[in-house]
Amino acid sequence: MVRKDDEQKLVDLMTSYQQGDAEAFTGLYQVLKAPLQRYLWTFVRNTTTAEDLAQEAFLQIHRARHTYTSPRPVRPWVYAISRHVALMHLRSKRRRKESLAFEELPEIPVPPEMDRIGDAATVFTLMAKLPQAGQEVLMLHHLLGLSFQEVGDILGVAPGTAKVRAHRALKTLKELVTDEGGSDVGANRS
Amino acid sequence: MSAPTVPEELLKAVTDDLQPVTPLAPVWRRTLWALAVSALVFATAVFGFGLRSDIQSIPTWLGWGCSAIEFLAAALLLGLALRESIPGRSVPLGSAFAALSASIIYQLAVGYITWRFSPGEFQAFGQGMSCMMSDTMLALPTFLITFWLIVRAFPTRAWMAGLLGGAGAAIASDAITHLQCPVSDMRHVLAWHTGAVILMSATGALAGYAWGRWRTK
Repeated sequence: MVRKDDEQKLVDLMTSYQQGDAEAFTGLYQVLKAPLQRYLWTFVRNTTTAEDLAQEAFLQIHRARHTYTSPRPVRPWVYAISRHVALMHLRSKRRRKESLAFEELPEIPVPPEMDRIGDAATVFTLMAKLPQAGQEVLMLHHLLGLSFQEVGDILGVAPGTAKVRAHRALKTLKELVTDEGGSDVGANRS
Repeated sequence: MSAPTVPEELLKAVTDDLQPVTPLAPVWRRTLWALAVSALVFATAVFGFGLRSDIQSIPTWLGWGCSAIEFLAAALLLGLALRESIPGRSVPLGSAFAALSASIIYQLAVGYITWRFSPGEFQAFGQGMSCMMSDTMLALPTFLITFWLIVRAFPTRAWMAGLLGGAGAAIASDAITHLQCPVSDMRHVLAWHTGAVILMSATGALAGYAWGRWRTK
């Protein structure tokens, strides 16, 4: 129910924002900035670039605010625009994934099913070894809590495809944790 | 953890342009706008230029009936194009190509059944170019309004929205030429009428791609 309340809050903020309320924009920024930056990090693997892209994403969100229709969920709309910003960045700059710095990224809660795999640092480090498609679904579904239908709407794939990708990515991630030394992970966590 | 503050530069950019906006109309209503243009073209073409010479030899279900179904297929493709133009409502790649392929297969099947009922007039293969031109010209108004509706939104895959919009407009125009072109030879249908659908789809995809590149410059 928490998710539903959060979503309703976002819908209300978005509707006020469309009506010209600057406070609503600030509210949206405060709620969405951290998860958005985490998501964008999966594309660029650089904290500073992810932060820059998050600002650019918010600018694009502002330009595209008329395309949001209440009461549809806000987050798939926001992530789709952000994904577009990240892909345009990668395409135009042909940037390489520069570094694996994630420590300075804003904290987002790690759900229990991911927490069981390893601590947040291990999960994020090993996620970087997964293919981009796998990383995206893991981030969107397992870490940011979007449904497979919403993930499919963002990526332009069927919900079933998103589910299969997430399953494969999670399996690979678990294998990577085992290969990297599950005992170390366990020690870190205790 | 304290709530992040909006950077001054971003806040200024947003507050400088914070007029209230009217949310985009729902996809079905925007599809109806595109279809209204298409219906106008349909009426003008059919009632202005007349029907194929062998229309009496074709049963009503095959003539008007199949044309109406093709128009519905066009509505579906236009609807998908307009849905694709909204962030977070991307059409799965498989569904888009399934809809496009099904429309083309339907067009060919109708062409084949029509040919069985009435082979129609003979026409040298090369003369079919006028059919392709006519298909394209009839598709243009629908394509232009659809493309305008697409770019007014925020397509994250503009090429895909353009492709579906082009295909929808071409299928709608084929619904008209099915009632007007007296040549049912399969070579003619495949080369010139299906060719027109493929040409318009490719044009839509290219226009979308070019627009997407221009926007992100």
